[in-house]
Amino acid sequence: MSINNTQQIHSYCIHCAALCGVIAYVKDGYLVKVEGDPNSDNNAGTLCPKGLSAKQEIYHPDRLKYPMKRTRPKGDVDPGWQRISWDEALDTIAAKMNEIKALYGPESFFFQKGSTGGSSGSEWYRFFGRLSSVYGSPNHGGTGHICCYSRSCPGLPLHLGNKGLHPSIDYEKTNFILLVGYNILHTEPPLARKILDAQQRGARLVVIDPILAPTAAKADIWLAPRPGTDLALFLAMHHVIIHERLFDPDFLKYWTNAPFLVRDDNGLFVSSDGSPYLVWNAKARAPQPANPWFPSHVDPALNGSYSVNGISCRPAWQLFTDMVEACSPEWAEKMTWVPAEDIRRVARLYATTRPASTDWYNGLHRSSNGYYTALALALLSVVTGNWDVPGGLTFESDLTFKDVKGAKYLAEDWINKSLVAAAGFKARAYNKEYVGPMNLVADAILTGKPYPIKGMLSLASGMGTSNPNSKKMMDALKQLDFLAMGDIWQTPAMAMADIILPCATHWESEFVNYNPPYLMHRRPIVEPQYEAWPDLKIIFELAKRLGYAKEFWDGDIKRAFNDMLEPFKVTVDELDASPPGIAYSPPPARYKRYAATDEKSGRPKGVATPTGKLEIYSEKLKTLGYDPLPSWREPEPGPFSTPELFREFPLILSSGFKPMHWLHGQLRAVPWLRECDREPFVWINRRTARKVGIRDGDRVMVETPKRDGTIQGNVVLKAVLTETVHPQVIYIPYGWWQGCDSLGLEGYGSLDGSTNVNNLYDDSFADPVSGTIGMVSYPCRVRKE
Amino acid sequence: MARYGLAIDLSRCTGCYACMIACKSENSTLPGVLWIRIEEKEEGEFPKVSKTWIPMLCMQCAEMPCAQVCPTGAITRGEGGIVLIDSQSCICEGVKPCVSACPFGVLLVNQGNRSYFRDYLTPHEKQDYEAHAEGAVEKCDLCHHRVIAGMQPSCVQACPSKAMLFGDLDEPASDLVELVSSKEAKALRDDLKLDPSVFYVNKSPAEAENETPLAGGQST
Repeated sequence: MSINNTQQIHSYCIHCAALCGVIAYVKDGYLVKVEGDPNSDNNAGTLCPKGLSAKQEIYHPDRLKYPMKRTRPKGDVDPGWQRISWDEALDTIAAKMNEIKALYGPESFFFQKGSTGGSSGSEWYRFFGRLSSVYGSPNHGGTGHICCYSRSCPGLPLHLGNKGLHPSIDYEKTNFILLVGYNILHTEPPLARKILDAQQRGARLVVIDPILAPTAAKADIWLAPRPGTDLALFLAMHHVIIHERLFDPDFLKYWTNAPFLVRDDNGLFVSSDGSPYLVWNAKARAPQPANPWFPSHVDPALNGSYSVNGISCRPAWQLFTDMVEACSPEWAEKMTWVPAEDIRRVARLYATTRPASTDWYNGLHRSSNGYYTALALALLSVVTGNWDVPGGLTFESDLTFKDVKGAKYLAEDWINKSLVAAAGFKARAYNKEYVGPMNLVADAILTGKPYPIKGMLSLASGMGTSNPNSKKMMDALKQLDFLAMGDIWQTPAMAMADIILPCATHWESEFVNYNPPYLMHRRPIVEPQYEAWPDLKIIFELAKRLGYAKEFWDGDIKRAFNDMLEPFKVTVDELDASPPGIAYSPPPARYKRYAATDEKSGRPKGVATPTGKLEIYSEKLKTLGYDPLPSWREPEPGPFSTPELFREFPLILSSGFKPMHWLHGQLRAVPWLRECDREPFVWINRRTARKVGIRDGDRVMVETPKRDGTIQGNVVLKAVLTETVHPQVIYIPYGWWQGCDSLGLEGYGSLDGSTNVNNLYDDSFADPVSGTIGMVSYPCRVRKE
Repeated sequence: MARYGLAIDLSRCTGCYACMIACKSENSTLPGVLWIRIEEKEEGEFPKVSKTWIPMLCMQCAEMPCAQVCPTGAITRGEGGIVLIDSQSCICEGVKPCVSACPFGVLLVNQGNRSYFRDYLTPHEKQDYEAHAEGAVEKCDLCHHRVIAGMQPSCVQACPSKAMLFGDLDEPASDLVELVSSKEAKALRDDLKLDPSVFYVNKSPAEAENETPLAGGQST
């Protein structure tokens, strides 16, 4: 291919949150190709299949091309889509938004944002949140309930005080990487080489995943627990660490609330004389105030049982120790299927290799016990002193653009009006995490409780296939008075929309971001195809029509970017003046942030938890009505928690890992990518398949029950026989609905008879603390079609 | 005179297909024509099971079994030992003997389905498809046009795992020669003595059973 006469444009790919620097070669206004930018720190010239497919995605003839409105009633097989102008589309949406607000109140309008990637939702979501705030609705949805609550909220902020920051592996310094439910080699492409480099220099890679996903296949040790039982595994690791005294007592005494005395009668901390917390000073054999700090001559007891002013109490660590006492590796073997000796071995390796890091993602999280599972895992880092130290469990840089989400525009009591608070998720309400899971929205639409949701604007969200219980979601969307949806492709949920909008790919849109080493103003590498608009332009133009010009920089996106860039003291014009952007070095990684000195008090800053310390025991959780410790609980549904469902549906459905070439439910229409992975499938263990007469390549139906045992739904898939799953487990990849016309592959729909795994879940099995949905351990049965 | 070669570290390949798409993007091959593909191998029984991915592409054999059976002399060695097929001279009707002479199955006939999209050629397809003659045999040329310009083949550059190393096999002090000289490196089907330029390296992580005893257990 000739690369003469071509213009080179520096940009970055934001299909996923990893953000890879790219160079786009553009000739006569057409994209010739996209390559990784060798100067990018993240990807060093490499690029994944999604980014490399840019030109097939951009010039795809099946994209949504024009705004359209329905001309036939909802429920008709043919919506009668009619092309309309952007003016008509936006005027209609604005009028409906005003009407619903006047009739039912602003909380009755829901702002749904879907995937991070595709059209760069991980960037523009800030302004979408601002639109909902200025409008006055506390109901702004995302994907956290099926994605990352367990990493960023609410558990880690409440117990460990790191609100908003995700864990990030310190690849160059760590000697041990423990990954759980996280196919990181594929889902964070630019990290693949860093992890493999760490492994080749001697760091051990241990992967916990019920399925031999690509990352598990590269592990030094792979543990395959029964889906949804990782918590038992971690509790048994704690058991070994405590029994063999592999924990770090000094770290526990001074940086955590492990020595805080807890009353035996009510589970609250013992307080006295204006001191909210006490420890037992082993040297003086007397209680000692901790606010939360105590003098260095105090040696707080971690174990024992004491009496303070007639109140019997024990240190939090004693309660934690008592809790894990029953969780021996032999016990965990029964729960998890992982041999006790393997658990012991990994626990010892983890606790004796310094520094040791850990990270996890949605495989761990999509479970009714996901909150406590993530907590127990994070606490492994705390008890071994691996928390926020070089090479340990570290966090992404807190480099931040100015917050433009505009929560200040909401009324003071907004959190109490949110669906999250009204549905009883008190820990999340406490953290003011108002991002509402779509299942709560569907319930509110269908039942009118706690209040009706009447309208919705959804951008980049495949609601009909991306949320558990697709049938319920479609029924709910049908009930809405008004639904407008924008996307790159026509998705199944659009069958229920009143207006659909064609959105630009991220390649055709702009934003500002940090793509190390550059602070960059990403400009369109080609103009949007057809009549597509960037989501950001939709948001700004809609804001103007709603009368929010003042709150939206008079509709000037460049001014909004300049505002975001303010902490960096740089403007969009300055970034544009040097094509790749401006080289920027963030402050060096800070470790042990808990130990930083507060200038005013001269004491350690501690962490942003209720006690100011890392919390082994959460009194706040206790007062909100939850278990203060991550005690064992079976996943629901599951063979032990709902045995009645497993009598008829004996297999366990797991729908975990995602391969690198797909972005959740997107991109199946891109033929190059489809040539890698032509059709959806179900992995069935060879021995199980033999018993029921299923052969490799057979078409099979997978069926699941609702909570009450009646049929929830089915999917039909090609059987792939394998030994990479346990005989009682099947694996179905998610995100399959779209056809690929050019390869002669038709779409699959989203409900019964489709390939959409989300049609198989009853969404009523939720984690009571976080609201994540129990999906990883779902009962099912398989039969030949 | 250089001899370009490739070492593929199978312990780093995660089967992500970036190489395959990079090749598509760079060379604009037609639907169904893959100059590099991934073979997947599963071994063992759960939970003692392993998975390996093996990228397969033209091995650039010095012995060129494909050229030996080509009746029109279309297959030659170009600069750096790269095996090239001249599409204008590749004019066999019906059976193409070179395709079956290749023990690696990496020669493919361009069947001529002209577009990835029904009734529609994208701008890059319009520009690039001229280079692909219908009915001609095609294969990987190690991105000949890039390597003669001092760049790496597109698959090598794109690989997120950095599992592929490109270089000159005649450069004794190079990383590539060091890697292909290691005991873990081997060519596929070395029994055929085709003298290929592509090598596979498999440095698997230490087997669980072979590890030294653990440090834990000193309960106090």
